[in-house]
Amino acid sequence: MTPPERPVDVAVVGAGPAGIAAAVAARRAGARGVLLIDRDRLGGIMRQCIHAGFGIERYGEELTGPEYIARDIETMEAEGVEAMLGTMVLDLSPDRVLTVSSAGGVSRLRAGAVVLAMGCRERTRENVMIPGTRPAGVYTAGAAQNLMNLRNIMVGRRVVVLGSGDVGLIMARRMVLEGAEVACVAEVMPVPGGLARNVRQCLDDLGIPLLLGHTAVEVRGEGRVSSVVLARVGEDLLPVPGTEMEVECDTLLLSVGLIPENELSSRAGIELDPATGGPVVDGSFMTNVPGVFACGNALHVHDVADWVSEEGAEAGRSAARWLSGDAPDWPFEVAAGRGLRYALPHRSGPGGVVKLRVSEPARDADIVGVVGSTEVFRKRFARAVPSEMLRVELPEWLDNVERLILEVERG
Amino acid sequence: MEAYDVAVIGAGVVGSFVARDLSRYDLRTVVLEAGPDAASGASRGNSGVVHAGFFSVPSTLKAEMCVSGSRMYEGICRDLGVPFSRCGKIVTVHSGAESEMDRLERLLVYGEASGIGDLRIVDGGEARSIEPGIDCRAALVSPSSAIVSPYETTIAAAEDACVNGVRFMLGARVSSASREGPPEDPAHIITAGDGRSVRARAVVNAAGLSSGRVAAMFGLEGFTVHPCRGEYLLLDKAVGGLINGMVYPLAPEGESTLGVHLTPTVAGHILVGPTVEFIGEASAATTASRHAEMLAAAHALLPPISKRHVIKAFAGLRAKLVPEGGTTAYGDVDFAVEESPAGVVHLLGIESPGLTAAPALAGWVVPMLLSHLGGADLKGPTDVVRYRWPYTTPPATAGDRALGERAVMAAADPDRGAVVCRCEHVTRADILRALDNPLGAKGLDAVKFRTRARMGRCQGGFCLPRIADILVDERDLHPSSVRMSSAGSEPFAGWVKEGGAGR
Repeated sequence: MTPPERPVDVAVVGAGPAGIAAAVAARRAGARGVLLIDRDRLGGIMRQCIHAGFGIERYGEELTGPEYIARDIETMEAEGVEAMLGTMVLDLSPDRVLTVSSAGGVSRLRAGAVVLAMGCRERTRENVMIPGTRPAGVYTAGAAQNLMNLRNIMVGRRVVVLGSGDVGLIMARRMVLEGAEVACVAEVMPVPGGLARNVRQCLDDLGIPLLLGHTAVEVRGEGRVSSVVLARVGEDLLPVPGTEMEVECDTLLLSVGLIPENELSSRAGIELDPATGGPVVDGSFMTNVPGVFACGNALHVHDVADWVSEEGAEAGRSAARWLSGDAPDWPFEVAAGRGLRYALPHRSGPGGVVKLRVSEPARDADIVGVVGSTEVFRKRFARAVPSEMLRVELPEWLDNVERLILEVERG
Repeated sequence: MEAYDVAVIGAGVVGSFVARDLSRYDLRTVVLEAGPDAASGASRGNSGVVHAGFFSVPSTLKAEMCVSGSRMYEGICRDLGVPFSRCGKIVTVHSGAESEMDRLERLLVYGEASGIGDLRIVDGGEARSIEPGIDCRAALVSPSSAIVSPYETTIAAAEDACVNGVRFMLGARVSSASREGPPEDPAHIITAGDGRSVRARAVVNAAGLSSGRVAAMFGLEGFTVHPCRGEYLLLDKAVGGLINGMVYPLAPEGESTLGVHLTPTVAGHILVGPTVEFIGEASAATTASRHAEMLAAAHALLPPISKRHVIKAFAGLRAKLVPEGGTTAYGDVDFAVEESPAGVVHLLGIESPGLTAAPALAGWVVPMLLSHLGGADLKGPTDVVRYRWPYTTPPATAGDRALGERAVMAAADPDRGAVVCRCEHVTRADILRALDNPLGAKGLDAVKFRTRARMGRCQGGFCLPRIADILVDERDLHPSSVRMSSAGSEPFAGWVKEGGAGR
């Protein structure tokens, strides 16, 4: 049987902060959006982020994840945006046909425009290749957070956390608050991966040791984890033989990085940036596949949810605009040069906003715009660390430029 | 104590195929399996290759069983409803040195002597037309080499036996055997470590790594089976398209293994491995040094492969037979099939190509048992329950026909429409059926090895909580009683708040 097909204006994949903001913005710009979400509820990962710290940029107050997303869901419902819950997008074609499946059956949506807002997934034990046995009790921090906060299921009693990304730090605190013991948080880099406020509030305030420059070299245990072997790393970030120490525990929580979720993007033939793991986009957040836009953590991993919402709204507005036949011109390429991990959008224009991350922490760092070999502008940041996204507004007078390279100069 | 005609020890691929063949007769058969499910040992951790048979020395048991087993596989997989892909294989030579060409030629000669008619040696250019991503000087091409999912095939064979009346005792590690009754027709009492015991007139020892130990319980001494660990890396489907079929290097001279190679999986990944390591204690732990060795070997064969494509590392243990007076640093040792005493058939050292050979070994062993039992009646065709693998919904991304089938199923059953696993598109119906599998295998791993949920790139980060919902909310399990596999493998430590809402 051929699955039934229906046309839609804008199909938004994912209903976290990016997807909801995109659907609302598209609706307000006059397009009819459909929100597709594989879970039974709206809100994405925000539902399990029950700690405070969201909304400071957007509302000037500190909200929990569920409080933050509840406001967006309310707006969305008021705007009459349609949501298809429990609907998994199985495939996306380059001509914007989505194959979806739900308890209602398999069907197809022929979309005028598509906004990809699938979020990101966690790097696993296998992605960082920790050797040893394969017992129960090894969790990515987000999966553990989901089980504990949404399902009331306790994942372990004595925990080692590997990686000091925000989710790892928050879960270390959460485990302690629920009566577990956190032996330590080990971080391979010489600096913490998460926000400074999270290191202070989640570890320092609870007396959880942070072992910088350490990694896990073996998981032990047959049925369940019985211990994890940690070792110090050298400057090459490889374990130094002879520095191993065995830490008894029943649980290993991994907070070793997030990767934009782009299985669907690849199937549609969307070009990905190896530096972000997300699509290559222009200043409208449109990918190389016409009419397909990307935003939020599916585009690049953010550190602040407020910026995810902002980006989703821009992508949604752009999608509606594209539907009405208005496609802005983005005259020049933007490239990440020396000292930058990435910069996006990958095409921009005068007055455009570029988001970027530095490779190394620095005080008083200048972001320098270079055309050819000529410096065309610079902007100073008192503090630039890899864990915090920076934004640079490009000058309006940038004209006749083909390629703009952004670089870091330390002060 | 329950009395059976035949007791099969081990529900690996060999024991499961023996049990399946026996289930077609009017016989009472029991399978004792030490692990928590069929395919708990080497049948789970191997390359999944149906070998044509040219790696084995002609007229050995290995060669004969491999060649005849490989010809049975496609039909068996079709009957069981499990995947089979005749993707072909090339064995590559890189230097083109005379000694290497000689060894490649030898494989061709071996294969032809064993009756494999479709082998040929081609130059690098022709090899590239078969495998555009592979750069080599020459290659042996085997178009009939194939792949299966080794655990799905094994579990399917076991479940086919089970629905046709064979009893499976899981978690029954055999600890002793004794004889009673008249010497001319004794019964064997087989006791498991947990105290359960069965009586049987005939016995098959298909205990894999434990087969030497089990043989000794029946008085057959002198067979030492040594664990030889093989590690693997599984690569993301994103790079699965870089090869069309299996790509092997020419194995190092004088070694009993095939060298680290690239094998497509039926699900579309690439498997890298296996390594070779004789280990004292049977441990399936993986090691950093072997990870590095495999990545280097894979990169040498296929340069685009790198560390970032790895989604899983695991190890399997080969059951290597040590010849009398031998050390562990020996060459190739043949399979051993011994009947001792009468009616007790031991299958020893069934390592690679054991997966391929399994149906042929079953076809050889079952008549031995029947002869000892004085014959048995074949069941009539209407008395055989037709088994078909029930855990897979057709993929949505493999063309219009498969999608159409999926749409029909989903229209009829909401649980076929609800997708639980994002990476492998496993449906709720697949999960529910796996939880109610006929073997009675419990735990999340029983679901994983039937549906592939938790096997994709997220390794369960997305679907584990959703499967937990089914177990805890719908099946009313307390979180702390959920298991991965055996007792002691509990992933959850209870409720966060006792008496709190489940969700």
